[in-house]
Amino acid sequence: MSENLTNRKILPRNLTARADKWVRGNPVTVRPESGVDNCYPGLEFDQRNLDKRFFPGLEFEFHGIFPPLQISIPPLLRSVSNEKAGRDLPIEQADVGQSFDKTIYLWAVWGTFGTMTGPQRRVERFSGLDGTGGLSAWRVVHDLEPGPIALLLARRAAEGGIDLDAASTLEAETALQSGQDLVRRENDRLVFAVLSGERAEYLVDGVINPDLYEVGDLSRSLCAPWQYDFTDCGCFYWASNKPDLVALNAEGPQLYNFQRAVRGPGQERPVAEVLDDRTGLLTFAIRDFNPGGWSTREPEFPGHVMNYQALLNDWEVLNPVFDHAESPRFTPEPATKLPPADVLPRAEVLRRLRYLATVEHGLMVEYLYAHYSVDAPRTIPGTDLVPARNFDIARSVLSVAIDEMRHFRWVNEILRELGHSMELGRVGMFEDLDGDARFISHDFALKPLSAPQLDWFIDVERPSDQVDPDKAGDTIDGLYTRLLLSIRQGTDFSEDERARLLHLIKLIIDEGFDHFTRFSNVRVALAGIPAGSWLRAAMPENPRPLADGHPAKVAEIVADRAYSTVLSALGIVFSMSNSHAGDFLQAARYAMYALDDAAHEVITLGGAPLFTLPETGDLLAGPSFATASGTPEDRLRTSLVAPMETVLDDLRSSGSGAVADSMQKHYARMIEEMARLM
Amino acid sequence: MTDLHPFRSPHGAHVLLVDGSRIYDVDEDSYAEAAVGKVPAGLRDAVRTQYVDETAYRPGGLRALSLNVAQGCNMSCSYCYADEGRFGAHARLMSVDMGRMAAERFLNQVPPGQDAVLGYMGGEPLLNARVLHEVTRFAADLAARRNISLRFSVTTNGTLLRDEDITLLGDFPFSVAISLDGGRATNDAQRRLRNGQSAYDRTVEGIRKLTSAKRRPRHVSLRATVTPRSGELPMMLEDMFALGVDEAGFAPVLASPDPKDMFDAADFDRFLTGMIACGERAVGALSDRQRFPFSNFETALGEIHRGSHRPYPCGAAAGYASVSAEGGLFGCHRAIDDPAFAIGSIEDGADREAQRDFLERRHVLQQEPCRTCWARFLCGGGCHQEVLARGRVGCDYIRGWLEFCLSAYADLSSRIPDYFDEPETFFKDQSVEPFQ
Repeated sequence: MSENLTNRKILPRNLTARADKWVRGNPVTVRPESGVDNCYPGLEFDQRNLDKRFFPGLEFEFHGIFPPLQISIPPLLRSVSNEKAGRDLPIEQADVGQSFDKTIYLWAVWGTFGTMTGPQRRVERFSGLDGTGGLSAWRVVHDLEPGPIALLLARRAAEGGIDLDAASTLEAETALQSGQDLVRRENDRLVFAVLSGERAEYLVDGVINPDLYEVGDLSRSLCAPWQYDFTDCGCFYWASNKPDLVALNAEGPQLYNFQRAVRGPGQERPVAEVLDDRTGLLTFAIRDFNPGGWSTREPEFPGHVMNYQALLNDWEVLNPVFDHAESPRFTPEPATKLPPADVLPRAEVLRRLRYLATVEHGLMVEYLYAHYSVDAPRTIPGTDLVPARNFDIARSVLSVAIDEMRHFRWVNEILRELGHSMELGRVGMFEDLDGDARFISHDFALKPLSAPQLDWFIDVERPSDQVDPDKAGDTIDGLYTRLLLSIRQGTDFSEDERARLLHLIKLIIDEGFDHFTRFSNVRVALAGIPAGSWLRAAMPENPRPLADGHPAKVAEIVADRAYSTVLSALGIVFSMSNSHAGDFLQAARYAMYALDDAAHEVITLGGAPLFTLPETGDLLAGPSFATASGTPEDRLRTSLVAPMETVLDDLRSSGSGAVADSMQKHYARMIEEMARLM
Repeated sequence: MTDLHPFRSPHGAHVLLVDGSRIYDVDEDSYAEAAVGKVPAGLRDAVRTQYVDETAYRPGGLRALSLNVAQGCNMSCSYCYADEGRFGAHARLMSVDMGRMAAERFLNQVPPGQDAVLGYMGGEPLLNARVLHEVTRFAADLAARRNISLRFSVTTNGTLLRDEDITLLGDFPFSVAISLDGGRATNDAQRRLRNGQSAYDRTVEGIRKLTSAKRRPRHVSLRATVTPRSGELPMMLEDMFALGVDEAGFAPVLASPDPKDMFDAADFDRFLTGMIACGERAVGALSDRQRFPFSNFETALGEIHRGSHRPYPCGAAAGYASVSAEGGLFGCHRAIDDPAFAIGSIEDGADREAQRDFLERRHVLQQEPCRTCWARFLCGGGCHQEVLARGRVGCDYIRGWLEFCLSAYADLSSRIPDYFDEPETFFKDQSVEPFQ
């Protein structure tokens, strides 16, 4: 399989895929000419409105009259004004009747058109039915360059095309390029008119001429692009059936509320209390909304959906979407502030950071153990449902464990920024930091990924704003938030320290939310499924060391030592103060992969990884790394790999040679990567 | 959970990202990765975007309501889910007062300026033509005063259409769905009048009257119900197209009072083969820019193009409800008088709790084996009524049909993108009269 990703092709095909693609630069929908009809985010005006007065004194309508029909029509003549033309035009407003038989359309334009190869003088014709109506007719007019132009205006025949007999057509076509006006009437009714003049100067050096447009003229046909315009369908089960009801308006707005990224209480606000009275839409709905108890004034009333007419007239009163919910006004929430008494002094911030480092470490190990407890294949399974699901679940949990390693690093980075030593310890019992009994009571434990254990993972990663402080203890997120606010509000930190620290703490808080989501997804995937179908049967809670002579004993020792090596590698990473800290951490992952090999081998042989916390002296390979001599590579080998060699040999002798080889490869790769960065 | 589904088309290899129904053209390596369940590198960011989660839809107001104006029928189709419209009880008709009250309360909760649909179902709604006429006029008038864009729909067997009915269906914005099961032989085998006589001629005469009326209803479609005894689908489709309707399509019988009319696994295989044969004809016609209004296929193309993704199969109990003759409110017209679908009454109003409860229970991520099926957000879990009556027996068929439609979509959208982008100018025959 090709490793060269530049050979890879991934092209979005359907609309959701295209919409999901992030491309650098402005999207095509912000080009002025994309501003058609409505719902084109980012537009400030609809360019068709710019060109509607391209002929002095006349105003055309380029928007389809019946938008839902998606049909082609030639531009419609809306109004005639001698005053705006600055001369007496040979037709008048009375010719532009409102009734169908008087409606006049633009059928042809003569003039100079900009083309790829330069200006070209020619006649462009519009027909009602050949597809040049609507947007494409506007494009033709838009390409007209300043200079002499001429127009052919006439009525529309019942069958769709221009209502002109052959003789009149010839006459009109001839007049088009003569530079003269020509008007034919029959019984006071306009048959056709050819008008000549100069194309209006609505752009002066690329700037819109303010004399020609009134307020709201250019944005008339835009809706607020932030509006969710959903409406529901009736019986519309299409995946196998022809839907029972056929009257659904496929072009109409669709109600896909569940497409919203964020919902829940407070997202859809009680519109009645906040909507502008000017539209009369929702206020009316609320006032008349309870005849016979059909509907009650409830916050989840999904707002209103505007129709085309309302979009044209009232687009500027549509509600924008803030924080994924429609709202007529945006009140920025005042920045959260701690009461002065709660602002922690520098020493306490440091103490808590040190404690949180041990918590991150503890969680990383709990997640890892849970990961190993899932009965998942190590390589991607085929299409069988259960292995595929278990693989996904195990992978999700592992990904969070790996993230925790990063958090572990960030907290240590903060400690170093503040001039303090690193913290590689692991939490035993969760502390009541404030002594107010509002804390998560938990003892570090290795447990399989049972439903209650998963609930605990979700709880501990839960965003603090979802927690009622009267009912539940402070979360990890809450602890970091307290530190964040203390650093921001307090006076114990310099500006430089503040900038750096706040950034890192925010990163940790944001990722915590991601962990919460990932664990919640796992819960969704497992809901209603018996634990036996995803858990390994033999994985105990808080495993105890195996007796000597057990087939998994050697692997158990190797796994413990590999865990110790992970911590040693992290110790070295944390001591590095250069811009490659992230890359160093990447390199340290190889120690994690080696641990992964060992852990799976223990499990395969009937044991479980113990994750025994090394004695403090052993914990820090830093000193041996610092005192070792030679090249960085030599020093790394001495401090990280040498202690592993004996146990890896034991592993080989016990018959797990392939595992030992794989672990050795990971270590070699780690040392190579780390040395390269030093 | 299955996050992606690789498939092939004549255009090449593709991947459907299940969430968001996003379709990508991919290279062979990426396809091979996807085929073993691995997310190709180029899609790793995309696969993290979540479009649908397990949150249930919280019902707002209704936008579509159907009235079961006649819970009884002049026909006795062997497969009818409605038990000849009686839904297991005795035949009865909705009163004019009830019809008006339902329409009034429905329209009162639609905010002005919005679209709404009022449908007539049964049974055979034209058995109660008086209510159909009176309620339509009443509702159209009320909607106009409240600035609601109201459209109507009626599903009928077409055997009872009188001239004044046809005038009504043309005067108001009606979509008319007529049930006809293909040509005479197939139709008569399973759709008979209650006296046992053939209904075919009477239905065809009704269709002819509708399509040749001075003011033709804005949309006339045919819906063929397919049982294991039905004939070949392509032939049925041609028989139906020959009647000059705007579109025609099929619905298989999954739940029926008569077990011999229900599909079993082997029947589904045959049905899928027939559907694909029709779909291939549609692909051929579209490639030649000819109309081929096979509605199952056209709708599927549109939904797939748009990337439709929903955790429900339809709007039942969400934006749609159906009223029984006595004014009971049910989530679906197929489940009149079924307590599992009861969501209040016209008299007392919609029962939000019941609606919410229904929508929570019916969310596709609450269903097995839907939760892990790649088609879950295209299918939404299958027609509620069929699933509750019979379980999910047609999943392989649905996946097979969707697989075909996905492949056809990828093929057509690469060869004739303007069918999707500029449908108004796509067909060779542009004889649609826009200024009716």
